[in-house]
Amino acid sequence: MRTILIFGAAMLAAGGVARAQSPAGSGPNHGYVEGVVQSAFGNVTSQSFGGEVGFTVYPNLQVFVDGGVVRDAAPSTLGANAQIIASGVSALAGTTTYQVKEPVTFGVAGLKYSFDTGNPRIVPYLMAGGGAAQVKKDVTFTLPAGDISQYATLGSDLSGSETKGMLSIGLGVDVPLGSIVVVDLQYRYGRVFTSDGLNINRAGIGIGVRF
Amino acid sequence: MTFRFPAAAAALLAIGATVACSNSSTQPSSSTTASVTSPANVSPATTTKIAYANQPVTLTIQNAVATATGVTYTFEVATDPGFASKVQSPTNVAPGANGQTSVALNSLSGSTDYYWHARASAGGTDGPFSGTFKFTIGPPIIINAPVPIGPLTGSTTSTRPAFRVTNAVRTGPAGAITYRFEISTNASFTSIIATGTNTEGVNETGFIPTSDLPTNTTLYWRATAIDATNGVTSQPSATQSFTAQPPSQAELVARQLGVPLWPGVQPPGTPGHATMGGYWNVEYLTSFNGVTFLNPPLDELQIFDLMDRGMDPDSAIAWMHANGYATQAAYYPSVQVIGFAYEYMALVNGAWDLVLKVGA
Repeated sequence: MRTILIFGAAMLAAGGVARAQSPAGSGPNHGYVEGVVQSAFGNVTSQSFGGEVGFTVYPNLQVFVDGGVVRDAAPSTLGANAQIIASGVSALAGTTTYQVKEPVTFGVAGLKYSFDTGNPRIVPYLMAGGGAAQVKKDVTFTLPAGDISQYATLGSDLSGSETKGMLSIGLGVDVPLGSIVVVDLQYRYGRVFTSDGLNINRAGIGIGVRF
Repeated sequence: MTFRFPAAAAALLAIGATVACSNSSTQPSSSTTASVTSPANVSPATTTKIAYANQPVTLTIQNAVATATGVTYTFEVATDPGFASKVQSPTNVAPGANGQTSVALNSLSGSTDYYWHARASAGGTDGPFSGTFKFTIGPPIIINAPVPIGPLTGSTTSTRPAFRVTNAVRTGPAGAITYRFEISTNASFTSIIATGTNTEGVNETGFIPTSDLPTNTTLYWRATAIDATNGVTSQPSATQSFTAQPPSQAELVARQLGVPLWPGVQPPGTPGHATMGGYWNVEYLTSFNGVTFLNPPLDELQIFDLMDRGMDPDSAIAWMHANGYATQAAYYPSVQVIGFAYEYMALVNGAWDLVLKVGA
């Protein structure tokens, strides 16, 4: 909460000293929309897909909305706990295997600031925002016979889902291709405030159009 | 190319750096609940039959696993497989060593089937119960203490008296019962000088020591009934005290014959009132009618012993008949002769001699 307040105060201060500059790059700049493909990495590496839309509210300053899905952001503890239960169930029911995934569906909104480098072909930017993310513990056990519930009770450390607040910051470079199409080389860091806390790093590319 | 880095961008970077550097890895929180497996039942195995006397029953499980520490166990014992009628339910049982946990139950009623299972709890989660096992407690078997017949407190006995008790009263399906006799120099039986175990007789059970007991000192004896099959033991019989006297003349001859002089009821009195004369040698003789017999017959020794204890011949014969000892003795007071099957016992010069009959 304190982090969000600091972010808001910084945005107000930045608005007070921002120069009245013309939008970075040539072509229309009322906003943009893009689809993104990313590699999400951390304890496990997986794919992330999503989209982003932004609206210019001030020269070089846009409001953005970013949403998407990270296919697997499982921390190391998820697999470790599943291993403990699998070994215990194996002693009762025979060899038991497991699979763990932690997909995340998120949506954030915030501000994006583009820098005027003097070169319209390279437009670096910074962004920060907040929103929410649903984190699901997708853990499955395979037994020789029967169901896992006969042999174990899974707690919230291995089952269920939770929707929590998410803070996102990012940086990247917009590379206009012509007057409308933009390639966005990007990095995003997200912090989901689940009961155990979850960090998500994404790096990828977006293809969008300006309007 | 001019790169301008306004204050807003700097603020975004500073905030981002702060957030990125903090909480760089996931940490378990107190609001997360753990996952728990079920334990596995170890003993008693299902359908086990347990004798009533073999309680308390101890339930043992193979420990469960959990993703949190602080595992505890709950056991349930019921008289129905649905656990609607629980009779005992130990809870918060700490894990035992070596991967197993045990709990001893309070005494259970006999002649009853019981069902049991257990589960683990940890980190706010109750795991599933283990499979249900069944055991049966057998009917209660009670064996009362046997009652001493003799020698009773204050008795004077031979050095190898016959210790006798009435058979113990028992309830329930008792098995074969044996009796353990103990003879001690003190009433607390901390110093056992002779002991023996015999199978139950008809109505009563006895024991005769195979070596002489100490004489002229107070001794104590008791007997305990034992059902070894069911593991049930009675309380010991009431302790009796007695004093063993040196063997009498008749007892010494009986030992040569290889038989106890008094295998049943012990006669009263103290030897020393009669003198054994001649022809009491232990040998085979042939009667007037061609019967070979071992001399002297036991009843002749017994009659002599009773007279040695102070009885007159008629009283001795009467005592024999009254106390289950067979004899054909007949007293002829006019000639001071006691007639037996093949011999006479005649008082000659103050001593009782044996005389072989020459006719019927």
